[in-house]
Amino acid sequence: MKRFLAARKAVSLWLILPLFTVASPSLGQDKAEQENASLVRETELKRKPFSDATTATTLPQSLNIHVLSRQSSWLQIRAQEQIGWVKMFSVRFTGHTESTSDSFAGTKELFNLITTGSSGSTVTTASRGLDENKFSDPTPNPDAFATMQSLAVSKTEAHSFAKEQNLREQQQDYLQISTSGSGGKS
Amino acid sequence: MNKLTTSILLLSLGIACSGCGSNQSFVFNNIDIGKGLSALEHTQDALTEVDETAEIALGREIATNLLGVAPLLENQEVQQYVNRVGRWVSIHSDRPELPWSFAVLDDNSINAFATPGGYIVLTKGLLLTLNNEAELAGVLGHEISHVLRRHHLNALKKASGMSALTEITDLILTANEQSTESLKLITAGTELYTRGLDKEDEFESDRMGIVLATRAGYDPYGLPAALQTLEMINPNDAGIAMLFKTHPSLDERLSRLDIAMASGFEQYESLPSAKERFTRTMAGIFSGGK
Repeated sequence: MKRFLAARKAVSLWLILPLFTVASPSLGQDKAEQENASLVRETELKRKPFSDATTATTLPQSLNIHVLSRQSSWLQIRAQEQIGWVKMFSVRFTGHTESTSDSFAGTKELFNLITTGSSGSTVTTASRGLDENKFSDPTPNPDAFATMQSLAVSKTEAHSFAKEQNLREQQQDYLQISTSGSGGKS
Repeated sequence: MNKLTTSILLLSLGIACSGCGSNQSFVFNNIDIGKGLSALEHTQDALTEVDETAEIALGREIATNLLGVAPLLENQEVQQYVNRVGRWVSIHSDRPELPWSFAVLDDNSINAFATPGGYIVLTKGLLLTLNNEAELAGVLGHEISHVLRRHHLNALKKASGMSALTEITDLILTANEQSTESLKLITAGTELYTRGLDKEDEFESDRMGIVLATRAGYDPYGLPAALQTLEMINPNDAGIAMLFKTHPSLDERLSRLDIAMASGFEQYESLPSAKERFTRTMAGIFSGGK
């Protein structure tokens, strides 16, 4: 996490977003420090983001941790004065709680934090939410729908778009319905 | 809804009754997309009795209502970008020929809506919570999956107290142009988004969404990463209240994905997240856009 950001006071998210969008370097990892996260299970802290990497230590369930960055399914964290990697599903973010005193930032530049002074930390959307009355008593907007239709992309265009980033198609079956775990492997 | 639109809808639904779709396996680039669907057949119910044309006609009316909730984001580059990502993901589904199209509403709240037939509307607020293209692909994959499995049609059937979707089409078909029955159906289909779907439908869309994003070549952990981001937002925030009200808890969704992705997905960890392209495009929102 960029420390200077942690010092900001109750700045609207939507005002600081442009700053980050423009100022953030493009990195392979999402660099930001997230405090107010905890472990949902006993978890091995790995030296590197790989299952067969060396285990630095085993961290206990419910331990509060600091998330530094993410790389695919791995989160780089700081805990018990060590830095290492844990599986993302071992972590739950609890940044919205008011029980912590630390300010926090999101795991990403675009949606980093706003602090709220001494009351702890929170993230806000600066939104009042969509008006539910507009769903129950709708006002159709056919002009907007026409615009939406005009935005539709052809398969050819989609393929070109994917090629720009070397997105390589994969073969993966839908996952079986199971509560006991059965990741489908093609 | 004007008379012309009503007529188009009625005509489309009339066509619907003349032919009933079936869930067929689809082969794309030698990938058998339909393979693995057998485990999901339980939700098919009587929905295959509804022709795709009728589904699209109903969906476009609901989408037109959704677009009345907030204005479109006036940024052509972002709108095109979301359509390109969404179309690329949809190509890897078992219904690639639907008229998939996507629109971003200029609203800071966080939500996304999928209507029958392949029309997907999301908010600017949701876009800005995301960190990279893989996360967007995962989120759109989730929405696309709602369409694939006809979750909203199924919910509309239940909400209407009907035993089969054909009852809905029959109801509309027997209504004359002065009838408000078809309009009621479309309004009910719009109001549905404030009530939410069956929790199992959401879990299913999560599972399918990560698969679609993976097939499209993205880091499959984009969707769970996006869900973890939402955990950071104060649940009392008005901008996310509707999403929380209409979906299972984030903790439960992440726990389900944890189980679903427990094996077989490590092989995809090197797939790209296309962060730079995403960040570059989103920057346009703040620079005035085009």
